[in-house]
Amino acid sequence: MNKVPHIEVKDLVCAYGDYLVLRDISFEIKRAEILVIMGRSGCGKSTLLKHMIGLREPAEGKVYYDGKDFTSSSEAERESMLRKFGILYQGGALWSSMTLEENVAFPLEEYTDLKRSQIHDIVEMKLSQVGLKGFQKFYPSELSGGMRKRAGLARAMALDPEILFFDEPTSGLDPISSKRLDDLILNLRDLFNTTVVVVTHELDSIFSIADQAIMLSPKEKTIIGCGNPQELIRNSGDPTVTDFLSRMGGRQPA
Amino acid sequence: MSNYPCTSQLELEENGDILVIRLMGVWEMDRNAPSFQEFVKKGDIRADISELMLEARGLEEWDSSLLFFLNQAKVWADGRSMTFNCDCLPDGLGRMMLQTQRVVDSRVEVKDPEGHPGFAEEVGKHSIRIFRDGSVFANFVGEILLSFLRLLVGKARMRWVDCFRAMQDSGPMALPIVGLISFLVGVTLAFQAADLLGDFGSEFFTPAFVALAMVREMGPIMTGIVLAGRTGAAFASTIGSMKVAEEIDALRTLGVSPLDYLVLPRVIGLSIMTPLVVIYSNALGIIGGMLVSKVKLNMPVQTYVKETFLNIDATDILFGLIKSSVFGVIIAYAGCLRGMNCDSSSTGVGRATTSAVVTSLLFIIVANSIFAVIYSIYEI
Repeated sequence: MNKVPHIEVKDLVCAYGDYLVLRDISFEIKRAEILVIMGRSGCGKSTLLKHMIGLREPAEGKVYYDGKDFTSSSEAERESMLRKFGILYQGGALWSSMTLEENVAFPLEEYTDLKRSQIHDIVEMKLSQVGLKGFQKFYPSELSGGMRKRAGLARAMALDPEILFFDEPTSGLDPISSKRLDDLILNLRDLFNTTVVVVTHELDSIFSIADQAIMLSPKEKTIIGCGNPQELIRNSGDPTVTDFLSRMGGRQPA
Repeated sequence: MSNYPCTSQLELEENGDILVIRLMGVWEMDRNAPSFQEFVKKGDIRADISELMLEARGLEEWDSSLLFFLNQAKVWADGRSMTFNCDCLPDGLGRMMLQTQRVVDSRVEVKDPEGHPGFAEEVGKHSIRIFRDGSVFANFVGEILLSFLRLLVGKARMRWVDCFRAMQDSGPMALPIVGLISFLVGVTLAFQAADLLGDFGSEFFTPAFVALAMVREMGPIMTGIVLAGRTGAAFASTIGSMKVAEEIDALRTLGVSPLDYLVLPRVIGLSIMTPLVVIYSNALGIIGGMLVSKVKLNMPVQTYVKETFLNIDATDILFGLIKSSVFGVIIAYAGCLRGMNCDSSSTGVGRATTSAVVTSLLFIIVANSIFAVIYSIYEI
């Protein structure tokens, strides 16, 4: 097997101008692994994700995919790396002026030479995978929040990405939809060997999908716990991590 | 206070080195609950007190006003390193107080207190902001040019639908309002000209005045103002909302430049459409002038038309059209710039829209003056 980690983040420092958000972030993700980035609100989870997918440039440090430097890559290199990503944004981020079909078809039109009819079929398949078959002609504004999110997932999966990024995928979804989404994530990993990075603070999701989890802290501004969540809850040694994973162990917040 | 039969009351008692505060009555925000600071100021409190004890035996009802009072008391006691004893408070109140305290404690970083900055600091901040704005403006011009070059070599993926939509919105859809405004401007110009020129007995030049003023200045400017308010604002709010909903991020992470995809079609659309709308605006203005001349000066329509075309030539019209094409670019530029730099919130979109309109109006007026200088140098 390939020894090079699929994703490697090395000594990353994230800052908005002078305001430091995160520092000393280093971790590795193996192929077909599901990593959860967790932490309390405002700890920089989404910021870290944005740095990983190139929406923000790190103040220091690097991100590598398959051993290739993403941070200082040329435009063409970066584009070819981006092509392998699928990203689900918090609110779905569907393009509001396009129908669902056009939304999901867009990456296919952009990156493949498929014929119109083929694209049509793929779009239909992807939409039915997320339970939205028949909604091709709907505009995002005509859908509920959960449906938009699922449609966003269909778009993220359009190009069969090697890596899927999820920004709070289950927030705002009902328990059944969350569970379905978690199952879908596990299936994608098992069937297509997709590497998955999930930003979330929903414990149910964390325990059911994560192979590995990293916990960020707004106080220390860095990773304070790293490992499998089942093990982390038992022997992380850091009370903040244990409290987070056990909902404070049922205690009253002190 | 007398309206209420039962209001908040306090009693103070010094018991050795313990200061006891008894809380009584109803503590509600709209019943003028006492402030701890005032209370401390009034009462003479001995310096050797080492414990502050709170009692609430006579307390009837309470809300956050009591909580606020207690928090102030605690801060005051902590400041004097007194023991703060709230054991005698009702259970819920004590717990609530602890929770409030904890929220204050768990704040990671307190933002710099923003008092009134000094004059020099204000000036400095503003200067820095102006420089930063300047570089943002310049950067965006550069990005649009690069994007245009990419389009020329066939590398840009442009959304033509957006281009047509921009053209439709700034063209056909804007005709009624542009038409009305231009017509009325023509009417106003003609009235002014007829009055002013009439003093010198040369009302006969009214058509020339209206035509020249419309074609060279008023047509382009009025169209520019209407389109800035209509189309430029729409660009800013559309692109701004897309930014808030992370739609722009979604484009970027697909490797699609939002400049090529969203900004370029709008800039191209407006730069083509604005001159066409200006032609229409010129015509309506001249018609307005014609009406006034007919009614007020009793000038036959044929004479008016003949006089108009005798006094303007292709250069005048072209002058206005070139100018208006630049105005079109400015409007699209300002709208897209403000949209792309919009803050991620709904107020951000509002601000972006406002500032798009203000920016484009400002730039239109500045550009117009520059054109006036250039044309006067070359005597066009």
